[in-house]
Amino acid sequence: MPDDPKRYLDPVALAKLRNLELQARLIVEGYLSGMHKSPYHGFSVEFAQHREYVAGDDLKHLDWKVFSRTGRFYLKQYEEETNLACWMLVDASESMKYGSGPTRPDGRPHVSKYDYAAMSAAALAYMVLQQQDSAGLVTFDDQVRAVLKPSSQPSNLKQVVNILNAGPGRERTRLGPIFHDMAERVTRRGIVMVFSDLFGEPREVLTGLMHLRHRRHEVIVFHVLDRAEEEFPFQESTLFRGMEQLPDLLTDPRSLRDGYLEQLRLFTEELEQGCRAQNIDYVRLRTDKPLGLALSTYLAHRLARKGK
Amino acid sequence: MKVERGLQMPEQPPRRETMGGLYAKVWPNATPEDLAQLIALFGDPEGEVCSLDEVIRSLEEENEE
Repeated sequence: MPDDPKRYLDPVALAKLRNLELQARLIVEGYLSGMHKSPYHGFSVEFAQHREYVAGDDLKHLDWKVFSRTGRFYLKQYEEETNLACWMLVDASESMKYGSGPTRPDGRPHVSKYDYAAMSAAALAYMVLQQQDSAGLVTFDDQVRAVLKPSSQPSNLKQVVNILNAGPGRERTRLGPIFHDMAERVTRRGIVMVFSDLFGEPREVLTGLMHLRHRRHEVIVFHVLDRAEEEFPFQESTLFRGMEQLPDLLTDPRSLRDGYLEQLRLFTEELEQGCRAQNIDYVRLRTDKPLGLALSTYLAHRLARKGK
Repeated sequence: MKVERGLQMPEQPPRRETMGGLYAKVWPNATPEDLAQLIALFGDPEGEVCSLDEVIRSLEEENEE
């Protein structure tokens, strides 16, 4: 039915495409097409002013229309002449393999936390590159697994996709040291976007994030969680498989539910408040929700930068 | 394009983005089989691309059911 809202942001439908580059393109182009009614429409690098040509300037920015009217050489200047470097840090530790939603024939979830993070990060990379900004990528678990330096070349998307396609490993996460490491490595100021379930000691995580802020990066934390992790819907006796080298646990989940939910609340509150105290955007992403929230958050940041 | 001063451009009807247009944009060299897969997953090419709010509402209603 033509009147039905289409599902270009549905995580399960997108996951069935099984082509990360195509997923990224569909998310962004669908999102932008659907935004034509919104105030963000037309967001791009915009003309700011003219300035007079001086010897050595690049001729490609000459405004020939002004020259034809005035006989003088002027250059067009654009906002954000130096492009912005956006780093995406994607957690590829074993806990990111978890997904409680519909499963594939082989029993794996259609949309694990890693799949959701990878689709969001690839879509962001596509959008960033469309705007002539630079997109870089880091995947990590207890150490940095892959690094792709920021580049504004459109071909960088393929490399982003290749790295993300490697998938999560079997290691634990060590977020604090990773963030410290990145803060030392990335010297040029930019936007750092973290996609992780943030399973680790909150103080260690926040200290690492503080280091990135100290280097004057804008930091956005996308906290990726599964519906079952947030709601703990288990009723019958359940064997919980240990991830990241933790043991399996057979238990009656009803006896655990209240304590678990309270611990989760404390954990997320500490992270959220810690982020807010350091002017870090903390955004919760849930893997059963439509993709696009990461794009909205990034666009809001980018617009705020333009307004400064 | 020559633009005469003092003339107003006629009002354009709002651009209607269709799913078919979206498919062509994101996968220009799709085979008929690829296109059939897109239609099965994301809907009729004649359908209008909806806003983020509409998509969220639709998916949340489905989840509640």
